[in-house]
Amino acid sequence: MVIPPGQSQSTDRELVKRFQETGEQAAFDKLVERHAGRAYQIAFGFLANREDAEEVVQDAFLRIYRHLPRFRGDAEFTTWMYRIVTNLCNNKYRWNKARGAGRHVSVDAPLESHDSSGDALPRRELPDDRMRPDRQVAFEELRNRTEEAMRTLPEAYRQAVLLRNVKNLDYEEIASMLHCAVGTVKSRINRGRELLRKALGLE
Amino acid sequence: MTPSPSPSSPAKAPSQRAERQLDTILDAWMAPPEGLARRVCLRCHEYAGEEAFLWPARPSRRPFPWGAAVASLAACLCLMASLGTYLGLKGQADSASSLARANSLPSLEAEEAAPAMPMAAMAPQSSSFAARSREIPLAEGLTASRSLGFSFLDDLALRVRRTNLPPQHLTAASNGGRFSGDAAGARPLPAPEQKVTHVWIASRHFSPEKLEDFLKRNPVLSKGSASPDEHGVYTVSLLAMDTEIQHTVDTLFEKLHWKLLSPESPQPGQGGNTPVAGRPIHYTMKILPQKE
Repeated sequence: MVIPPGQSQSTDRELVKRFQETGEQAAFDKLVERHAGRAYQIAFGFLANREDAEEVVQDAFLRIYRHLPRFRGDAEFTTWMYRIVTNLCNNKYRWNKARGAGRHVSVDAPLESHDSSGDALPRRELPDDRMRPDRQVAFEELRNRTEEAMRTLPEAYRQAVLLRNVKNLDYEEIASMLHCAVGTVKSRINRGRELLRKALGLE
Repeated sequence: MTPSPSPSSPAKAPSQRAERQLDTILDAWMAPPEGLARRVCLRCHEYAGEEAFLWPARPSRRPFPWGAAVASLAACLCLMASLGTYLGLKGQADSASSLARANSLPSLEAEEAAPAMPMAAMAPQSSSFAARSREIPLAEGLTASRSLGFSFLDDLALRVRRTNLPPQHLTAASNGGRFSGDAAGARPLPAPEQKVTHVWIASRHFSPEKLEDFLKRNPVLSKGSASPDEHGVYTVSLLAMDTEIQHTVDTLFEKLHWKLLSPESPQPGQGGNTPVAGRPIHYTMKILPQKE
């Protein structure tokens, strides 16, 4: 397991220990700041839906919050977290499938900054306002094409390709998440990327 | 993890550039949304509030109620003694009546049917009965005989004979309601005096599935029956004490940030001003999940 850089100040173990011993909320918040992004990318890799991915991340960290006092530390915190996220993704996937929901983020949907109660909505990726207009248009077009290409990609390839781009996730971990062999993972990644390059006209 | 191309091969260069471009596109496409960690932390903090609601501060552990335990035990022993006495006397009555018949003496049943007959007149006529009971003078007009049929119950068993009070009065007096009062478990709620209906809007974190799970887990709200209608509105109807309802309203409003649309009491934060008298309330909640 590759330990990401930049964690020299407090390791995950220390933060977990502080939370377990004193219930220090700041220690838990630090863990969230450190790992929420990666958890999101994993969830997004599975579900390819931003709302679902964020919901899975929230649920995952809620479970972690509930069970962290009893976490024994036999495995790394990130290993435990990944397992929770993948389980929740599988549950979410089955839930969506049972309800016939194939929701995807619509790039045509109007972007609202606040909902009716005044709470800020999660901000989607917006082109940088500092971009020139022509580049903003190109950015939007590229994003639309990426969405379309992802929709056409077979699910097994899509998951492998996206998980491969999650930082510090190695092939063995991807294989255990997808319940397949490492060789299968590599093959899916190569094939999936080839299809994406063609769809996006990158070759 | 990018597959390394063979070095200095012009035919591979586009593939390498293409790979880097693809990585850039994918990284941007699956970048986490802004403020994700903050929202997750907020949700966990709200959950901490929910936990306090699901498991509200319980009263400090009371010492073991020895008094109630002893009273319960005494009540059981009284009951057993009464039963034993009844069975013993029934047997005695049968044997006494057969003895009386054998001796051509009035039967015990006949004597008991004539309340004015003095006990002393009876005693020599029914020697076996007299030998097995002892008269105990009580208050004026009352006599009791202590059954000797059950050794360890002798101190507890009392039987009233030949009084002008029906047995159940003295039985009740001897119990005095004391044991039953102390040993009683939770009394059933009296009929509700007040009906309250509140309309709530759940906070945005409560999707329908989470709302259902929350309603099932909550110790107060799970008492009622939650069922969504065709519009997805959940109706919870329950019967609870006014203190519980006030606590529920306060916590839903302050900790879970639900919105209360109805003006009817109890209102959030009103507990200090409105006297809560331990009355039952028939409480109906109409819960509207927020639209995403």
